[in-house]
Amino acid sequence: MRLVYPGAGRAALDGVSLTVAPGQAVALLGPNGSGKSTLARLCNGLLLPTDGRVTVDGMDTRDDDRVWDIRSRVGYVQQNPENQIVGTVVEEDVAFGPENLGIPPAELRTRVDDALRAVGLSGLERREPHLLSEGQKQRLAIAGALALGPGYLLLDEPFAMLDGVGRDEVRAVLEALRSRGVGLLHITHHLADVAEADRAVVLREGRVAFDGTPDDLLGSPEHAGELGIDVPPEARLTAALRGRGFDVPPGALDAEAILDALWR
Amino acid sequence: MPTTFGQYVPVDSPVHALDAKTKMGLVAAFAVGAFLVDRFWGLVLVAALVGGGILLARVPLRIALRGVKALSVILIFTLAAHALRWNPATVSLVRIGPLAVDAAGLRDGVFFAARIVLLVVGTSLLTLTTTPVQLTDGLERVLRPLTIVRFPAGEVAMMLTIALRFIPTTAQEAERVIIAQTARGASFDSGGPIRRARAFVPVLVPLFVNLFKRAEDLAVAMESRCYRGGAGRTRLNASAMTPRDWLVLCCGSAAVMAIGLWL
Repeated sequence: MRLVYPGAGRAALDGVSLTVAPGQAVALLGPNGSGKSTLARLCNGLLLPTDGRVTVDGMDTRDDDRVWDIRSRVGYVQQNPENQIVGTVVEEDVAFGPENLGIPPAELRTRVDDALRAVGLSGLERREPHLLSEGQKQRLAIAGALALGPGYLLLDEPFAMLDGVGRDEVRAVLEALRSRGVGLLHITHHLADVAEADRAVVLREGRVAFDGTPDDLLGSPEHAGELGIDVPPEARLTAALRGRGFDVPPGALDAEAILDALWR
Repeated sequence: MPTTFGQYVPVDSPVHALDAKTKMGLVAAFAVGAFLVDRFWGLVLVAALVGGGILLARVPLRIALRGVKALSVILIFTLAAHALRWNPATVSLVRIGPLAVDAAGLRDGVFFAARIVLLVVGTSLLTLTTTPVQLTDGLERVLRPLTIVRFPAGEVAMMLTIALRFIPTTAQEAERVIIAQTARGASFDSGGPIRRARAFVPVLVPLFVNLFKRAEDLAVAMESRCYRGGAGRTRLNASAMTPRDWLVLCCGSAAVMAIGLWL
């Protein structure tokens, strides 16, 4: 699949082919400007490919009649949670998507309650969004997407604006969704996020530079660094230890995990 | 801790509990009724209604009368236009050279000025007892019949909602930019008014750049969540008028219209 922005010389994406299965987590990496967000926006029909096809559960994003089905199947969560919250209170924001679909009010209520429970924000229905923590705001953004009943979530650097606590909160929510069969396309700069994925894809200048298992990518941090990914020093330590025959899993990316593996 | 802007007075009262649409209807009827009143006793009854409304709404009198201060110029002008006569032939109350105060004119002036005060205080009860969000929702419902002539009622209400949603966000951001510029040596509270206004230019530029970025993100988020204009949208918290609302609306409107027509 290829996409050229009007007036741009180089294709923003070229020769990219990618499948996300239900319940699967695919990590999408690459430096700024490599086409990650463009790829995400192709997946819910915000952008249409110049050549090639994008399908969601068999529906082509070019099919005008299926646009709203596709957008309800594929939720999109952006980097800055603040900018994607529409409602003046939490429950109204969650209801925004299904309201647009014309869902009757009684069902709206159950959808809102279910979505808020799934992200652990029950009890904050009447809270105003600007009074939430950043982690809560990002979980609210996820709830807004969940209320549409999606089978897939596009996550465009969802951790970028969060502190450690917020990250852990959101990560737990995403893990639970995945175990319920939601497919995740997780755009990230951080190698640490790759460890939990089923598959890692690296984009560079609009082309796929790497496509394989997270372990393959984590196993050669030098290579990941060359591809323009942030490599934490722990990953280099793990790779060095493995090179000397220590039994450390490639996914051990913090001191504690490395120590645990060494003590065993 | 709900933030309030504008005039809303957050207390519990029977007036606060009324639906926004009821209050809008009452205010409209009140405005027409008060304009129709042309006898002194009618005005006294209208004043009694306004006073009763303030008491029922449990709004402090000081706050309810706050709007009158802004009217002072109009009130003085109204009084003067009615009461002052230039070199009248008839007997006047007070006379300073050619300028005279006429008794009948003064009575008219007081009557019209009092009517303006009552109108403003009475209608301000709407904004004093209704949150901006409730007002927006009510407005959408009230404007909906206009969609027949292609007035975008849903879109207007959505714009107002988003504006309300982003007021606190923008305020927080402005504060951040001011702190950042102060850290770089900018001064916002010295010099004359022009100098102070100019000091805000370096605040407004980054603020607006950020707002445009936010608007773009928001548009993508809204489109991703299937927004396609107001048509066919349902509402989670559609405010509904209770029988009590209808009763208050009908009796209240009938009362003010009756006062207006007969007195």
